[in-house]
Amino acid sequence: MVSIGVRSQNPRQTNKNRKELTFLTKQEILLAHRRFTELLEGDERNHPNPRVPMDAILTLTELKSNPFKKRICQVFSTSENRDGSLTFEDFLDLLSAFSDSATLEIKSHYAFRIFDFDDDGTLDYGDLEKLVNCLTGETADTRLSSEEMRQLISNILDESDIDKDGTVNLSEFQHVISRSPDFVRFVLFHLPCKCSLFTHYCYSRLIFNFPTALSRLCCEDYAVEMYPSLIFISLFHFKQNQF
Amino acid sequence: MTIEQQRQGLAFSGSGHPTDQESLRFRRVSSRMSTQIYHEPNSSTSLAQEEEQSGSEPTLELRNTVFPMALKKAARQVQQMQVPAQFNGGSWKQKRIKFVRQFKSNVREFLYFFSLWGKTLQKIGGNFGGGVQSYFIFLRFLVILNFVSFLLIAGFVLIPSIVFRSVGIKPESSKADVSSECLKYDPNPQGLVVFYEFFLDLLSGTGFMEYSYLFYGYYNNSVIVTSLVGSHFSYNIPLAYLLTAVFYFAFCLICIIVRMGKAARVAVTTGGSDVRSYSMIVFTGWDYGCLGSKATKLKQRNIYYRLQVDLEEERLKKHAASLTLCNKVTLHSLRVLMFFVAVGLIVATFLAIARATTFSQENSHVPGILGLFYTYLPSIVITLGNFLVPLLCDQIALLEKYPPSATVVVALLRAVVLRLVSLGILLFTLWKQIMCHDSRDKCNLCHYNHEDYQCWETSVGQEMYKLTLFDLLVSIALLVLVEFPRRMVVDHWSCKLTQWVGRQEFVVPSNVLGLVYGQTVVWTGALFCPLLPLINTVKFVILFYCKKITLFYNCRPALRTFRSTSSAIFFLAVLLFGWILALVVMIYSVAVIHPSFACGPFRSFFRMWKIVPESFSTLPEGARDFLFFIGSQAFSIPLFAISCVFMCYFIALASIYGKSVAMLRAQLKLAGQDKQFLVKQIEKMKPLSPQHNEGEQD
Repeated sequence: MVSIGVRSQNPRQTNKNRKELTFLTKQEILLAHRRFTELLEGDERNHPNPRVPMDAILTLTELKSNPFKKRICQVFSTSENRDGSLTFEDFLDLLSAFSDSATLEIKSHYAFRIFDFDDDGTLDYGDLEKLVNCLTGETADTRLSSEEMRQLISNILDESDIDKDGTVNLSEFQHVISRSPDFVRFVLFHLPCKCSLFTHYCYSRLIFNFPTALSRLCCEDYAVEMYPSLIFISLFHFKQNQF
Repeated sequence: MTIEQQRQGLAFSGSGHPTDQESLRFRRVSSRMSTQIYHEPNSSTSLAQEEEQSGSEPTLELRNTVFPMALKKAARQVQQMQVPAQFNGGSWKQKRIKFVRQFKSNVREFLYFFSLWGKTLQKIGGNFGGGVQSYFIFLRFLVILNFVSFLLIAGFVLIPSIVFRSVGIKPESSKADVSSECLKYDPNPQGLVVFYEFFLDLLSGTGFMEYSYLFYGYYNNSVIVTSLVGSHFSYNIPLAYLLTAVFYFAFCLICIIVRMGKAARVAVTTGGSDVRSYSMIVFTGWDYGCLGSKATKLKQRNIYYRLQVDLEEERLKKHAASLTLCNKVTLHSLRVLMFFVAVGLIVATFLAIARATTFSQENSHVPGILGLFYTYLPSIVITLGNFLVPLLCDQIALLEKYPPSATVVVALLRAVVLRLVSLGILLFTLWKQIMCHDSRDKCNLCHYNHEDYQCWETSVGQEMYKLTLFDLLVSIALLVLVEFPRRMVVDHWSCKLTQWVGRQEFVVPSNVLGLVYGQTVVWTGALFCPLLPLINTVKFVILFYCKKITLFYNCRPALRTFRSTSSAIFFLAVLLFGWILALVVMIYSVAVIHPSFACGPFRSFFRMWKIVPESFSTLPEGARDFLFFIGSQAFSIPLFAISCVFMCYFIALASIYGKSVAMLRAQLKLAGQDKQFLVKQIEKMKPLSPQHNEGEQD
């Protein structure tokens, strides 16, 4: 049986609350909890509100090769010393913001915070430069020259900075985002969450019998680079009554 | 109370550690204000969306906020304490709405399972980008369109014909006032058939295939009128044939227009701004669904290339604007010269196709492999032309020095013109031969060239069948003989030449044009070869898997990506152009050329469309009067006037929305300017009186 964790409240009620406060379904929350507890060390699992350090979160396949992984952890983290560690509720916040049903406002707000590398509430020249470097990769042959960077950032500010203060604030950012057709369809800012009924039926049969080891094995077996989302999210559609 | 404090606390902690710079502090104030501004409309829009539950579903509002979970739970507790009574009030409505939403999402998930090739398309999109994925989506659309059209034709023409033929109903004989020469039609071969001839017949639609359900000539002109006990059953096969063809065209048009409407709606929501805008690329360019280090590196390289290309284009534009008059004149005259060269190449191709078609028709009775070669000669010449001329035009484009985006558009336009008009030339040449424009004497007896074409509709159907088949064979041959060896050579033998040639790139525009060409051929031939949509469905399915295999094994991902949003509209516009060409052919065949006397459902009619007035006269009086009324001016002129009124209404609505969008944008600008002005005022006032600052800050 999966333990939801030592809680003073009834586990069902906790999850019901969580379901209504996020965009995830009940099964998704339960399986997110399973993935979360796998990241914990053995003795930490009995802790009332365990906190996973950033390095462990970054081992998740979905975040491993994302250039924004550190920023994502820092944005969703509620720890006092800003070390990027996440509790389970932070983890749920992260998944909820990245899910298919999250609204445009939520996604654009978090996207803005992720891009705001110095956390000052606006995207200035330094933030934009770091953003472009993340997008193009840090290798020598994919870096823009400083002249090109200057030209690019001045073009970006020309287009998006409406009040001409030299930075892009949240409303200007949301204005740009709302005009993009792909973002409007929530295609880009999401961790892939679709899975057909047939495949998740098969995978759920496998995973029921051998929870942790086999799910790891599945991840490595089935061409992770092409289809990792299928495995991860097939876990999300695990049937409730098989617990 | 507590909520407001919590909100402010969060906004402050979210906007980072405090600094000493005053301008930064004011900017944080403005961002906090703007954050709050964005939270108010959130709650109001979510309230507006769920009007039935106003106030009784506070958790949905909380979901839309951007607080961490702990704050949301605290807020929820506060709300629950404040509003306990209303929870049970609207619960039935809430449950119903929740049930409907859950049901909709379940249905959507279920349908996703049934959608054709959904997973494959996702895989392709993730690995090769939106442009390549749009090609495969277009291909899937064509497969479904052809399959549904085949069901239509099967239901109304094929199955009744099979039923009546098996029951043994004989075709009606033609009218007596026609010479017996015109009634001669002898498609079946005599005696034994050698095996390789069987194969040749399969490929060219002659021999045993000619007199079969595949072609027009096999269908009878039976008009079945039976009076069974207690029922009056009648089925008019010629009328069904004609009306099915007309409805097939109308159905395809509606599908294309609907799809175009969807794509256009997406393009309009972006405000007509091209996706090339730098902010768009940088802010929305990263695909968070992109997983694995290989895919990530690919995406990064992609974005880098896009940015470089756009920056370079901008530099080129600036450079072009600064050219001297002399340079401009030489550039433009060079462009005009190159345009004429391209036009000359295209016209030369057309002449070659016309000559090849005439030659092929004259020598169609040569037996054996040489005969097969002669029958396929037009297809071969068209394919060669479609392959060579774009290559040459690419070389010409290098001299023309257009900016990169204009080059792509010009190349596409040239290829489209080449493909579709070459098909038109083929049909024109065929028509010339059928109506004997060269030698008048052959057509005097039967109004068409009965010596060479005893059943001319079947001949046209055979040409279209050959074109379709040849297209498929060429694609498979290219795959096996060119693409796989190329990849093996490039992978295992590294020298300068192979490095320069490199692995193949999946070029989307030319592949899409191939699809449009194939579909146009099917539309042209559907009237004469009713099973052609089925053959085309099978062909496109085979093509899908072949292209998928070549994409994953042989192609490297393109550095220069094809813009997917605007290209969807372009593909559909080109498809519509092909549809218009096919429609012209159909109208011409139905209205101008005399149907064959010896075969087909219209053998006893002066023109194909004459069946409609004749069947019309057998309708009961009431129906006839009603249809006359609909066709008369008394009905159509008021209908036209009413549709004009509706169109004006929609145009006015669209212009009003556009104006309000522009006004809101200007308002946003003004609000920003106001903010700047206030910030400057505050800075001015600050040295004068520090105590007043707190009051002025709101």
